[in-house]
Amino acid sequence: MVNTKVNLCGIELDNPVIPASGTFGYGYEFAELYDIDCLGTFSFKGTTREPRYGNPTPRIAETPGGMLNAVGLQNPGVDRVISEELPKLKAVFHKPVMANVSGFSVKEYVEVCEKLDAEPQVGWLEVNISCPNVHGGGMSFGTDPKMAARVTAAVREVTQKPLIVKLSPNVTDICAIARACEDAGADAVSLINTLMGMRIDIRRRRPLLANGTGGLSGGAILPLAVRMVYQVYEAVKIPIVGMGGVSTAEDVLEMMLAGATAVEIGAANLVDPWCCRDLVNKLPLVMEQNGIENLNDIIGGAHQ
Amino acid sequence: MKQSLFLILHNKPIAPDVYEMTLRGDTGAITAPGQFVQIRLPGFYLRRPISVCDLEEDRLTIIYKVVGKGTAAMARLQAGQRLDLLTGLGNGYDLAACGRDVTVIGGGAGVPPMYYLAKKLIESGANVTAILGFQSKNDVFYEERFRSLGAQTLVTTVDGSRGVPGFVTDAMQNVRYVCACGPEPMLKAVWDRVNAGQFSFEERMGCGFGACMGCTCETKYGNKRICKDGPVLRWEEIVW
Repeated sequence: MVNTKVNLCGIELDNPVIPASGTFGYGYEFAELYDIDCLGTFSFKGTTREPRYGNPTPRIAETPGGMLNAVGLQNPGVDRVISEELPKLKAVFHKPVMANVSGFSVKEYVEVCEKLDAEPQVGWLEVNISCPNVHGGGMSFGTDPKMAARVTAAVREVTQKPLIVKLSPNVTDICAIARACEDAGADAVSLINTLMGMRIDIRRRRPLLANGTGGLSGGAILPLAVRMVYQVYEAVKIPIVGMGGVSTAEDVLEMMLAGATAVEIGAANLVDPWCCRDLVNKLPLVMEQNGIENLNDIIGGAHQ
Repeated sequence: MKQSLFLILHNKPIAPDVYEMTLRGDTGAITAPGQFVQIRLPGFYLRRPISVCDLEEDRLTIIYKVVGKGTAAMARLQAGQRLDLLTGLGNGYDLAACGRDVTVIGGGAGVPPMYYLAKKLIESGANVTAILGFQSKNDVFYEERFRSLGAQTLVTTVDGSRGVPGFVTDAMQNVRYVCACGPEPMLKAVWDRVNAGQFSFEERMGCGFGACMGCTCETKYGNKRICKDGPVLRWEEIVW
């Protein structure tokens, strides 16, 4: 029997498979399809202080090997997430869950994290400083090491729970941002968020998305994500949650060899809603095929 | 919702850029007219949402218009090939709410779902008038098929080359309850002329089953996802 368990910041996961925020709602759409307790955990929809409608449509565009989205953090706001969504989530998922948090000011990040910190089922706070689809927030905190450190340090003050900072790839040096978060007290970093992209409708001669730009995800970004996880692994000592274009058990192993302790799966859930279940089921076989008894042995294994 | 492989039985043009495809597979998840399927196409990342045009036991008919690379690739698929489908998506039309006299209105690529709807309404004993809007006489399809169902069928063409000249609204008379699918300006024009009915909306989708929030719209009763809470919205909840 192979061992698929990994430890993410002091909490043991049955396996490293984590549906990524924004592709899995609060879990219950998927719980109608399969028993989502098979997952390591999942990261629920990005939560802000106020309810947000998000961007106008179209919010979605296809790309070669992937997709753009500009949803713009649609969510009911932290109070309703706690009063309405988490009780429903609790009924279908019985493990610690990852709470994904966004904000438009340091104060907002702090307030939302403080509220979610009080929720017993929240195992980790994943602080998103990398949403490319909102203005004046999100990514603007994740493209400057000083701002990234400020958000991290401020949230650190209000939670004892493991704090994961989700990083943007839309930077010249992701390692500098990762180090700034580590120094400011982050327990882990997760990467990569989507890459900012655009498609243009040649008939209308206008950007296809109402927001103009959107975040690129899907298989097309896997090599970029693997490269960045590999680089950040050499830059920081804290664990890394790797993501970007992962859709198979082999991709999970690749991401872990690059340096990830756990792996998030995003866009693939939208194309194949059973993808994470199938991936969890297939992981032991693919481990055996590759001579891996214990997943922990391969974290960062591609580094010399 | 179900995911399964469907066998293509035929795939042929029925009007310029418009194709009819019949597939055989597990249709058990399809519970109402107006629902759609998500088709995975080799070489494309996202699935294509296409409405159900007809259903006969394990035979599913869809009609699609070639509007981009994905639908162009679909048009090249051959009988005998298999496709990965998600079926049973969306709420569909609520037949019970329709009453005895129903006008179904389809515009262009919005005509196909009205066929299965008209069929189900007539089976349930309703009197159905079908108004089918097209650009020109060459674009017309399924006129006889609607008539064969027993629907009183009116065709409109924008250029006046066939049927009633103008838009579908030019053929609307004594409409009590309407079910419509078509381009948004058409839906709005129809909506303005009635005070009850069900309207099917289109939006670019990511997943098609309610997970990604890619196709959100505002309604009088809060935000809805076109793919999961729609695509059919009731007259009274629509916000333009």
